[in-house]
Amino acid sequence: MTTFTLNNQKIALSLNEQYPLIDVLRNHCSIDSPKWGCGLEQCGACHVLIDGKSKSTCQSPLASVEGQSIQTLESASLDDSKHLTHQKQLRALQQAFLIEQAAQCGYCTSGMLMTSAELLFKNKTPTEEQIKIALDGHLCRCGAQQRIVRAVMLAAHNLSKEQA
Amino acid sequence: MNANALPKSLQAQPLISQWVRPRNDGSWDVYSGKVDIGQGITHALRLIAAETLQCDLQSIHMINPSTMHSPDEGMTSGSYSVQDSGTAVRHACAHAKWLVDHEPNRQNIDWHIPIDIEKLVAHSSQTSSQKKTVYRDDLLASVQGPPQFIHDLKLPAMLHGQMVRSHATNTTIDERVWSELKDRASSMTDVVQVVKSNQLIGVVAKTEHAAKQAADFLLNRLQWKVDAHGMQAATLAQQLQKQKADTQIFHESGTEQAATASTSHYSATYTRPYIHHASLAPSCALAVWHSKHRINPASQLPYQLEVWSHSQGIYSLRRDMALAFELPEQEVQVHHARGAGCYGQNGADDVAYDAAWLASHVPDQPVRLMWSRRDEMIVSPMGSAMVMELKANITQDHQILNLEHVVWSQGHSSRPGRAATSALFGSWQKENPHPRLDPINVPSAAGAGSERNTITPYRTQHHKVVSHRLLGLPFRTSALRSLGAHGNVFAAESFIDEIAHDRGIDPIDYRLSVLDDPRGVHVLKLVAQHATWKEKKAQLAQKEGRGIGVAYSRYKGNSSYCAVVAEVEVTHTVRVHRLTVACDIGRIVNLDGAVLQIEGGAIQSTSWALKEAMHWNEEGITSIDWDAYPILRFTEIPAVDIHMVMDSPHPSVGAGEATQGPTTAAISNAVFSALGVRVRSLPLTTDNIQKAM
Repeated sequence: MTTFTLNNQKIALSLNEQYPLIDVLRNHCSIDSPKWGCGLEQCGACHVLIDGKSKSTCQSPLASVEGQSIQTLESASLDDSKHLTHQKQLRALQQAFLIEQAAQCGYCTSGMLMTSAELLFKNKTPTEEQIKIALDGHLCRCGAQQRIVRAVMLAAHNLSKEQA
Repeated sequence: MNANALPKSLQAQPLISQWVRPRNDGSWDVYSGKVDIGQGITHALRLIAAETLQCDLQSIHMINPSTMHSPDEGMTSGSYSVQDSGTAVRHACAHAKWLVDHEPNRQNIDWHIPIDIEKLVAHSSQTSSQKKTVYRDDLLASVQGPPQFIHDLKLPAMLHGQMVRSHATNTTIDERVWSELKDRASSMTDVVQVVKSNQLIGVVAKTEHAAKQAADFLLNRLQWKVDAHGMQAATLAQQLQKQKADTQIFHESGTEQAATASTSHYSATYTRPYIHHASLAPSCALAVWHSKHRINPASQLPYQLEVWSHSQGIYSLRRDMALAFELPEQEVQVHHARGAGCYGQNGADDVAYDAAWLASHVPDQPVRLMWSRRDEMIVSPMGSAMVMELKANITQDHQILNLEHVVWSQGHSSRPGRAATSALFGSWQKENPHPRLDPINVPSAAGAGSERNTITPYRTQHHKVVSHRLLGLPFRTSALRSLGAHGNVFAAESFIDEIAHDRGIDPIDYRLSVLDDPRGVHVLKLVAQHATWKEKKAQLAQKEGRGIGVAYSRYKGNSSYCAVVAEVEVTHTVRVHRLTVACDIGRIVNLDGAVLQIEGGAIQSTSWALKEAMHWNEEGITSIDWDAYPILRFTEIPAVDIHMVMDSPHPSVGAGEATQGPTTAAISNAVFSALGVRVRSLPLTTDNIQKAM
C-alpha cells in the first residue's frame, strides 16, 4: 500500500510499487495532464509538483512518493484551497498562456506550467533569463518558446499587481 | 462556371450536406477532411464557417474527421488546408446561408444539392475579419489539462501493446533464442500475448507498464544477426552523389549563353543531413477488430477493423490498412484523434498498422500502442539528406547569365494511399511482406519533393535544374516541413550570397537587382527596414564574432513570400540573437494563427540549422533519444520579430512552411558575415565550421 496526497486528496493504492509514477497518475488516478514524451527524464513533458518541486514522473517509481504531496495541472480547476500551494500561480499562468497564445500543439504545456509555477512561487519577479534557465529542461518542438517566456513574465506581472 | 474551377475538395464532394448541416437549435455541424495536427486548422475552419454563416463561434460544431462521415480531402499537408478545405467550407456555408435567407423554415430545405459557387460571389462578409484575432479554444484544453490527445484516449477493456524492434536496418533473428525468450516473456505478470511475424515482434499486456517491461526484457536479450547497410557518415555527400538514381531534368528555361572572357564562373556544393521528425510525443494508435461486423451509420455498410489515429490522411491510411490486411476498404474505419505537433509524415500511419496487427491477435479487445521514444526515432520517417550543387556564370555587370541547380536526394514522400502496395512500415516486416518502397517526389503541380524551390526566383538568361532521386538507400525518408525546399533554399540563398560578397555588393541590394517579382521585392525591403539592415550591418562589422545575414524565397515558387534577417554571434558555438521575418501570405484568415506558425517555423528551422543531424553506425540509427539528438532549448532561442504584409488582395496561401528554408539560409549567411568562412554543410556545428576553415 502506497499513500500520498494528490491535489489535496488522500490516496492509498495497492499497486506494484515499481510502477512509474506517470502510469499511476494517468492510468489509475484519472490524471491526464502529465504527458509521456521520452520515459528518460529528458523532455519535461511529464513534470508535476512533488512537495512543491517540479519533477519528472516517468522514471520515479510509485514508492518514491510515499507520504508526499503531489500537485498537478488539474489542481488549478479545483476549489480554492490553502493546501494547494501553487494554485494561485497556476491560475495566473493559465490566463497568461491563453492571452499570449503560448502553445501550438500543447503536448509540452502542462510540464512547463508546473515548472513555471514553482519558479513564480519562489521568485515573484523573474527576469527573462531566469525563466529560460528554469525551463531549459523542457523541450518544445513547435517553437512556441518565445511566447511561453512572455506568458510567464505576464503571469508574474499580474500576480504582483494582485498582491499590491 | 466550368467544373475545373471548383476547388479540388469540392469536385469530389459537391453536396452542401457533405460539408455543412443544420442542427435543430439553429447551430451548424461543419465537416472537413483536414485534421488538426497542432497547426490550428480546426479553429481556422471554424472561423471561416462562422464568418460565412454570419453566426457566433459557439454555433459552429466542427465534427471530428472520420472515414465514417467526413469528406475525403486526402492529406493535411503542404500548407494547402486553408486553400482546399477553407475554400470548400466557405462555398458550402455561403450556399447554406443563401438557402436559409431565402427559406426561413429549414425543414423545407434540401441540403443534398450541389454547391453553387456563384452564391459566394454575392456574399458580402468576405473580408471582414482579416485583422481580428480570435483565440483558439483548443488552447484552453492545453492549459487546463483535460484529455485531448490520442495518448489520453481510453477505451473500455483496453489492452496495451509495445513493439520490439532492432535499430538495425537489415536483420534476421536467431529463432532458437526467440522461442525460449518468448515463453519467458509470455509468463511475465499481466502479459496477454507475445507475438511475432517474421521481423515484426510485439507484446500485448493488461497494463502499459507490463507491456513495456516485457518489451524491454525481449529487446535486451534478443539476438539479431545484422548486415551492415554500407552508408558512411564521413563521406555522406560523395556517397549520395554516386548512388543509383532516377534522374530527370526538372526545369530548363532560356537559352544557354556562352561564357566570355568577361564573365565570372561560380560553383559550390552544399549538404544537408538526415533530419529526424522528432515529435515531442511518440506516435500512438488504438485499434480493435470486431469479430461480429458493425454497421457504419452513415453508409449502412459493415466494417470490422476500427482504428484511432493521428494520421494526416484518414482515407489514405484506410486504403493502405485495407491493402496490408487484405480487406475491402469500407471494412476499415479510421477516426482521427489529435496527436502532438506534426511537421510532415511522422509515425502516425505506421503505429496504426502496428496497433492493428497487435489487436488482430486479441479480437474484440481494443489495443493501445504508444511507441517508445526509441521506436519513434528509429521508425518515423526522416527528412532526407541532400546534396545541392550550384553553378553560375555572372556578367561583368552582375547579371546571372547561366544558373544550374543539381540536387541529389531521396524522395520526400513515403505516405500511404499512393502505391499498389502498402507504405506502412510494419507491413514490410511481417511474413509475406509488402515490398519496401523507395520514397517518391510528388509532381511539380503538388509542389515537387527534392526539387521544391530549386527554380530560382531571380532573373537569369538560362536556368537548368537537374534532380537525382536516390534509390535503394537504407534510411526511410518522407515529408518533413517544406520537404526539399529547406535544403534547396539553404543552398541557393547561400550561393547568391557568395556571389554578392565576392562582387562587393550588399546582399540585399544584389538580390533586389536581380529580382523582378514586386511582392518579393516588397518583403525584402520590409525585412531590411525592420531589421535596420544597413545600420546593423555596419555596427556588427566592428564586433568580433558577430554577423548578420539575409535570405529570401517564395515557398514552392507559388505560395508565401518570406524574407529573413538573422543576427548571430559565433564563439565556440553559433548563437542566433535575433530573426527578423517579413511574410506575404495573401489574404490572412487568422492573423495570430499565421504568426504562430511562422514564428514556430523560424525557431524550428534555427534548431535544424544549428543542431540537428541524424546519427548512425554501420548497423542503423543511433540518435534514439534527446541526448543523442539535441534540439534547440529555451536558453538558445532567438528573439523572433514577424512583420506580415497586411491587406493583401491576393488569395490565401499556407504560412506553416515558408520560413524553413530562408531562416536556415539567413543564419548560415550571418555565420559567413561573422567569420568570413562559408560553411556549406549543415548543421552549423563547431565541427562543421572547423572543417570549413
